[in-house]
Amino acid sequence: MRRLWLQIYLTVVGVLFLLTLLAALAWLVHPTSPWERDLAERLAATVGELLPAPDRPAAELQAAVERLATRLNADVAVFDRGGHALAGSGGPLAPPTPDDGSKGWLRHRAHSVTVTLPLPDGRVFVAGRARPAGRGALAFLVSLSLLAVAVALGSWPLVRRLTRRLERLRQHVEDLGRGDLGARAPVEGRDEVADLACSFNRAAERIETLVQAQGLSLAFASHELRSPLARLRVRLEMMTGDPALREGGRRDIAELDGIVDEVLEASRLETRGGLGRTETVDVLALAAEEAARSGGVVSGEPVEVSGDPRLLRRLLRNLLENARRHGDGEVEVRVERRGGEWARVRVLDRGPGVAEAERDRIFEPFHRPPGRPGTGEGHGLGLALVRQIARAHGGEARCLAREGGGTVLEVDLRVRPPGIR
Amino acid sequence: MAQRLLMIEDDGGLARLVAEYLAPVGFEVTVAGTAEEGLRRRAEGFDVVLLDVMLPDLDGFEACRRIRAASDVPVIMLTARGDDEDRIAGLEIGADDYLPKPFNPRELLARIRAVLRRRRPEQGGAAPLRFGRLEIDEGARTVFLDGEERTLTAHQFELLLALARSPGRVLGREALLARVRGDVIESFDRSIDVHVSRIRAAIEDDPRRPRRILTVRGAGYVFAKKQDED
Repeated sequence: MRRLWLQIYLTVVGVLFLLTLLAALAWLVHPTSPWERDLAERLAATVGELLPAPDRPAAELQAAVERLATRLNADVAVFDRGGHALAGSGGPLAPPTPDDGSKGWLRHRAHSVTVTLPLPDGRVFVAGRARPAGRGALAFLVSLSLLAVAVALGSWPLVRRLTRRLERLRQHVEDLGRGDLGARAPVEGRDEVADLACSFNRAAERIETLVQAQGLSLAFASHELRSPLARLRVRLEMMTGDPALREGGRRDIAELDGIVDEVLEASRLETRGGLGRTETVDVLALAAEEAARSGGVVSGEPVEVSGDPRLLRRLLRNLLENARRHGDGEVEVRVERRGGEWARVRVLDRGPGVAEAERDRIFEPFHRPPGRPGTGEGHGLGLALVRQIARAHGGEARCLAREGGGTVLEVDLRVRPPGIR
Repeated sequence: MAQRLLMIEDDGGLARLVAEYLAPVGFEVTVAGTAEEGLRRRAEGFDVVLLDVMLPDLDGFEACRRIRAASDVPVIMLTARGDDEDRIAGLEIGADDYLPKPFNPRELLARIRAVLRRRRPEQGGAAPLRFGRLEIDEGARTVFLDGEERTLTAHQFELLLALARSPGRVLGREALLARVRGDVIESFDRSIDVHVSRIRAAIEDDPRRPRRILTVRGAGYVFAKKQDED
């Protein structure tokens, strides 16, 4: 990516360079205008009147030339039509060439200025004067270049200042994108960049309000759901009758409550974008607790990780729940240490397994395997939450095929997740 | 003599059900639908207060703070499940216990009895260890499930205490032995599994499917942190 400040700056410098070039060119080859030609003709006529006529003796011409040279404080010479010198005073002057007319009557040379005037009688009057050192065309070009360099240097900080504000703005936009909903850009000045900052702030404000409102309405909705659930739960305990029926009711309430929980947990993780409270958690012990709840055999070695105990419990519960629902028969949980930095949890079942193309997609929220719509065999939010929690702990969740048939759901967790004190 | 309970809860249906559930076991429940009403009626003198965390007129925590400022009546807060932050905030401002909704009414009863029992004698010694419906009182060397005492031998109590002091940790037999203090003369190591099964018989709902003391194959035992969830 080419940086904006560089682009603007290069444009400024380029324009400056072009301007310098054109100015120099115009100065070097400025064409003779009709007005100038008229002036030259009148001057030539005047000079012609000051000189003796061509038929006068050469000594008279020489005297007139010397007089003019003194008056003008310049070298003066007069040539005939063929370019032969007729008279001269001071240093030697080059004879006029046929293309002098196109280059103008007044010519700036490196060290001198010459005036060439074709007289009405055919002779050519040439006057030349050396100029003080350092005032030639070169000096002019040098000073022009110096000016260009000065402007180039001066515009650098200006351009940088302009684009630096844009860069700062970009930083804040990125903060917002990363989930820092409180990100606001400082408004500097009153130009378009400031307008952009204002617009960004308004947009961020709106997003923050919306997200908060959504989180709040989710919380209220869950509270609303929990009230009837809580009543149902009490009612169930007061019912007399078939205990198996009551047990089923308990399970249904727990499942419903779990769904409310997961929706809340997922939205919380999303808006917070990281871990809340963390403590040292014995993953093996936690796996044993959750396996006791849903059935499953736990083995392995104790591994302690820093993490959110509630989220890690949710992760293990969802893994076990998934295995119980989609696997057949016994579910195994193995916990092991991987090097000094990782804990690995694997939940293994002997179910029908997951097709290779589906192995990553089962971690998508509410994913349903193709060809089985509405059979209640979807994964809901469960595995999506597993992956979300694993990632919040600096780890990852994977689905693999188990040797001999079945599925392995594997979760790696960092023993010390990044970003935790 | 009936115990008097004040329930500050905007869900009238739930409040009536709880009142109905608690009446046969000796509780007289007064229901207040708003925090304002609850705070006003609190002066009538109740043995325990049940306080919903989400009330229409006042935040439950603020209500708890005001109750606590006026008296030390036991307060149990009803919160949304999973809001650990709520729990911490609730306990810090002086709630005696909390219970996430939806709750098992049996557990509610156990907790009410627990806070009442703890209030009666002036606080002596360490606070008892509590895990949902289970309560282990180290000072009195007693164990309660749902507020009912369960009998254990001295050895079994020591072993349970060693486990319950490190909930959520896998403890090998060696570590358990090291933690069981006192005059344990008999060869504890070999009989540890026997003792565990006796303890399970006393404190588990279904000793064949334990939820409190769990076995981890090849590693040892875990005392579960969360024991009563359905």
